[in-house]
Amino acid sequence: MTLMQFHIQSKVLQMGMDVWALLPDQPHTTQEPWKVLWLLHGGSGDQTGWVRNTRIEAHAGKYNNLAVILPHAYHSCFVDMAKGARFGEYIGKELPQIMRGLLPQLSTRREDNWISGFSNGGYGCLYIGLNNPETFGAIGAYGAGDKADADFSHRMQDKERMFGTGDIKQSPYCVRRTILELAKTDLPKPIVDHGCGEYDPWRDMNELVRDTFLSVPGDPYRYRFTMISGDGHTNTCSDTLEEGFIKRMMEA
Amino acid sequence: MNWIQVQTFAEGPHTYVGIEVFLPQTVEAGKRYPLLMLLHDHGEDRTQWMRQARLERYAEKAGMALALIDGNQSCFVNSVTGYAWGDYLVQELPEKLSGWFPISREAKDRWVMGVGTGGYGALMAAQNAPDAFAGAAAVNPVLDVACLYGTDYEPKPEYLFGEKEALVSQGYALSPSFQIPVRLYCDANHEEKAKQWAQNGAQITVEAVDAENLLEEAFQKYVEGGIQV
Repeated sequence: MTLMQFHIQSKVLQMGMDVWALLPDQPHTTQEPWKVLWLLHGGSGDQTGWVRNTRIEAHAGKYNNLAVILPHAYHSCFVDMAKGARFGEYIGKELPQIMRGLLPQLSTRREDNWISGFSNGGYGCLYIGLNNPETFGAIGAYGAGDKADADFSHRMQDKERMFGTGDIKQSPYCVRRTILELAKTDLPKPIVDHGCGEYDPWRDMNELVRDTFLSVPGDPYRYRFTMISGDGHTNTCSDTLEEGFIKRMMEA
Repeated sequence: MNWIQVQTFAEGPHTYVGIEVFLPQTVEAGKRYPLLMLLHDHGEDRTQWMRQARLERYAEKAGMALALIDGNQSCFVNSVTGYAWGDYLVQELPEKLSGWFPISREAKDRWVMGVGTGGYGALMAAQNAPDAFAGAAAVNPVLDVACLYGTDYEPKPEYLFGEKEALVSQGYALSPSFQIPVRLYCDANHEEKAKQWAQNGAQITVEAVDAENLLEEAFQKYVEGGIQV
């Protein structure tokens, strides 16, 4: 695929931002809009992580009409931070507009726009995807628990910077709450693909999210959970799960 | 401007290449922007123009897209040994750039400008593919690649152009008569020779630029006066 390194300016963040993208090599031969995978990095990661640590280019390069956009959200968990910058709005709202301007062949249909990530990015794609159901038609969340279930007792400063001083479970940062709230609305529901490794140290948090999805009557999220046996919270695990997500969405 | 570093496979020269693309800061929905392609000198690479001239100052104001492209040691022409850098410049790259980006697909919105051997490449593109560009410019260009033979030029010019005696028959000679507007921007060391060469030509003009600020002055003059957007 063709690798592009974008240097753009975000008005929401008031900051110059790096974005990487993997794009079809033969852009002039395809007339139909490209499907878009918005792919979020893990904790302390950046826009290069998926390209360096997984076979994402091989998985996405099997198709001639899929673009992968890799933003950078620094140490934000991809949310509108309680005491900080609005990375959730940047990635969920501003970035799609900017990238569709710079790459006119990106599809604007929600069915063609999928947000995905591993670990911190797994939580981030749930947060952004569930809060922007008109933009994203699918979520691929891997090694992904709800920050509302996480133990922040040893890093309260991180917790308060990102999620504020109150109980996260009672806030918009609680994705398990958002799963249930969105289900009650008339808004479109993203397809949700979820999974983790058998030995993921946060497997219990993944299972809480899983059980919340499974509790929703009628399965509006067309929910699928994949457990990777014998693996943990690793690059091989994220690679396998992402390959499965791309296959599910491209061959749907 | 928006700056995009592209790494992609170029079929003409059969290698991976870098491209530095600049697009206006605010892209209007549905609009396709005119494109100026910039070609580097021998011994340089695609970043020469952005390091030696403040391109964004002028391109943003003009509402243009820029593409700074690699030509390695090819002078941006097809070599006798089979590397089709010329095809890459004239056809493959404009098609792909307007496939990825909001860049005009029309030749009337496309210009090429080069320095030194890249200037030769830009003039060759104007000579060989006048239907592909609205105009071309060259800064201190090599006007006759015969001057490279017998020097320490690497790789040997023979590998690019074949034998010196066959330059004309192989299509590597430039004539000063063009079918599209061509501008030469020359410093004091190159101006006289360029004027002599151009005097019996067609659609060609020569302008003086200061050697101290060569690329930026030439770029500013071309974007503000040479290009009709």
